[in-house]
Amino acid sequence: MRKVAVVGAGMTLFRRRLQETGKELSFEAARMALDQAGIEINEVDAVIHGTAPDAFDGVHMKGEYLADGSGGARKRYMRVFTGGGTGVFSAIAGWWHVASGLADVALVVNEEKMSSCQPHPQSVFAYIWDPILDRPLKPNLVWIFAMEMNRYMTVHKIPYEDIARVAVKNKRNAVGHPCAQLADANITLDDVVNSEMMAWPVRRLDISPPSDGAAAVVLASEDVVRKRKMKEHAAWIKGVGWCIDSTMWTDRDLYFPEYVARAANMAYRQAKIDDPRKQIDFAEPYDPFDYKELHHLEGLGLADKGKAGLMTREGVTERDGDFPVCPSGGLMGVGNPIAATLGIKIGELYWQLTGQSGKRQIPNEVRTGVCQAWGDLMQFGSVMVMGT
Amino acid sequence: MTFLERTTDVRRFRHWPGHIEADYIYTSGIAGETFFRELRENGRILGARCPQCGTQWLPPKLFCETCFRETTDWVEAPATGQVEAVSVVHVDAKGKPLDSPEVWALIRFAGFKGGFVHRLLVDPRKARAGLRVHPIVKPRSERVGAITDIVGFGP
Amino acid sequence: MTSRITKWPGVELGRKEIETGKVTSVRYRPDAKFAWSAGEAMSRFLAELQEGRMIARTCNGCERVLFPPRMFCEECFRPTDAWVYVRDTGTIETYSISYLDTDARRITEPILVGVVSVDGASPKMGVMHYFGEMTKDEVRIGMRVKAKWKPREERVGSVLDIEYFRPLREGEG
Repeated sequence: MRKVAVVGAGMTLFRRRLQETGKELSFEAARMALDQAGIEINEVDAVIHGTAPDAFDGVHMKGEYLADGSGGARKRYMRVFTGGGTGVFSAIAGWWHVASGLADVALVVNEEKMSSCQPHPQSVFAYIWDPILDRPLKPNLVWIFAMEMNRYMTVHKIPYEDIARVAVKNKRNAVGHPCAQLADANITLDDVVNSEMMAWPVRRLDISPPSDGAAAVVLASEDVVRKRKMKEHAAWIKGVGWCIDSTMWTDRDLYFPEYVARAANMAYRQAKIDDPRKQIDFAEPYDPFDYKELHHLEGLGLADKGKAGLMTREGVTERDGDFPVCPSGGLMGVGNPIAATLGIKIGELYWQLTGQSGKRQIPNEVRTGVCQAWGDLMQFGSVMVMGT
Repeated sequence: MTFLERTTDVRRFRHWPGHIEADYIYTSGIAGETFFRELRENGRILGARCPQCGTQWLPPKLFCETCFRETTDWVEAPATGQVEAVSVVHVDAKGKPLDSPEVWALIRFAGFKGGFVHRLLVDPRKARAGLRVHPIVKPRSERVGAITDIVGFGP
Repeated sequence: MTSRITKWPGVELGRKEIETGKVTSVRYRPDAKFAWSAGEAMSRFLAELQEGRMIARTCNGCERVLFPPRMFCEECFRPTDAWVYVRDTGTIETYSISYLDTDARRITEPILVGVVSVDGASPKMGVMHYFGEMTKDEVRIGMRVKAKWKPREERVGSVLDIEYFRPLREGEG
């Protein structure tokens, strides 16, 4: 398999409501990524579009609809979707195209326009639930996160403050992100701990917002990087992994994301990493809720089970700490336009590894990073390891 | 290999009824905003031109599909267009027969890529490709900035 | 390079701009109706609920008792073997105390909801349901509970034929 690098990235602002149509958002992010990479559209061999359920934008066959805005007109095009895992998974699908030799250059574009859904995207999230077993109970999406968070906290006896600290860290980190929706330089632990109770144990400030946005990355083969002298702004994909668990979430103990661990093992094996905490310099796990950052750090093998909270408490995961986690500000700080989180996972790894993160740049030298996304009904994990 | 047990009495099969309910608001977007504003305020139809290849797009897009660059110029569509294809429709979207048939057409404009799918306001027996038509627009007071501000296209 | 970009694309809109028509938009409500086939396993599951019983399937491959029942074992990936009844008692595996109702509206009296692993099924095999006859301070992981069934004539073959799970009482084990 050929070596593949990310050679450019772009993203739009993440906001609760953007005026652009889904096509226009896709174009803006894709255009920016191509400009940053110095690649023209006619040099792109394949376009991969990642986007979450059609029901959010309210356009059926959303992949086809967004093809032209993603630069996919009359090109090899595919739309992939793995729930919240799409933010990393679409880049993995892009990697397949280039690593296999099917494409020399692939453009990966992810878009989400959740604001179309009225009164709140929550209304269609509800249709994830099984129609016979779950929906008659009229569940609210927050319930399932609350149940997972409760199980995680109870099994490991994790104090709520350790979880709330993640919200504080990420919203503060997001101040350095030009696209951030919920950056807050002054947020304190008290703010989070005292925020409105939604479904115990989840409080308002534990949750990332729904957002509109788009992001894109350009992938190129080793040959292209060499011929076009792109080495200076290339970050190499070292390992990819993905895994899905069954939808029977009530049959699983939610305290540990087994499927994330399996995806991580697949990626680590490819990247020849056997001691992730030592061989990796920073991480961008998926944080739609603050406890998920900890849950996923453990799933990624970067913290022992039940111990991830200590890392935040001790400042290890701050940007200037020993092992920065979510230096972008994560979903908690920048926003959650589901698939478009590509920009703060893959995008952030790319920008950090090539020294382009501006105010967010991690002060210590970083050579290897891991990012992860998570989706569906507590089901899916996608992982990518990148390095210089 | 298949299931080891199978019900053969169809009356014992259950169905769970439900509906998927959602409301949507679709913004017109950046290019669409200019298009619909112009339609609402002045009853004019605008397209967009790509500065790189010169292609003119109708309806206007923010980006040229071929060059993948931002379109920068607005160009008014000619007063008349030509019907490229027609369809005479006898049932509504749910399959119920219509009281009287409706004529729908794809209308193109010279010099522009794309066109409109809209009502063709002719007698169904006279509906055919090749007809030269112009947009019939609602009075200003009734226009809201939507594709329905155009009632249809007539000869 | 990226760190020197000053203007990032995206035009933010507030809710008012759409509501007051400051920007043009179109509203639409799709009207999709469904009748989902319950299938072999769920049809029997629902029929048994109507009778006030809970039923599961066994898999000889992994020797698990699968609840809710399914016609294939997702671990062994083979058809499941036999029907077996399970108890209507169980243990709370996790729960939430929700101040949001199903439409995400705030409520003052919380809804107690969670996952119950059912006695007779393999460990951790469970269902989501409401909890009742307990306060938010009493609910806890590990509590032993029992289903409170609706009266026979009100049962239709639905998970709602159980009203909620309540604390197991003395002598009910």
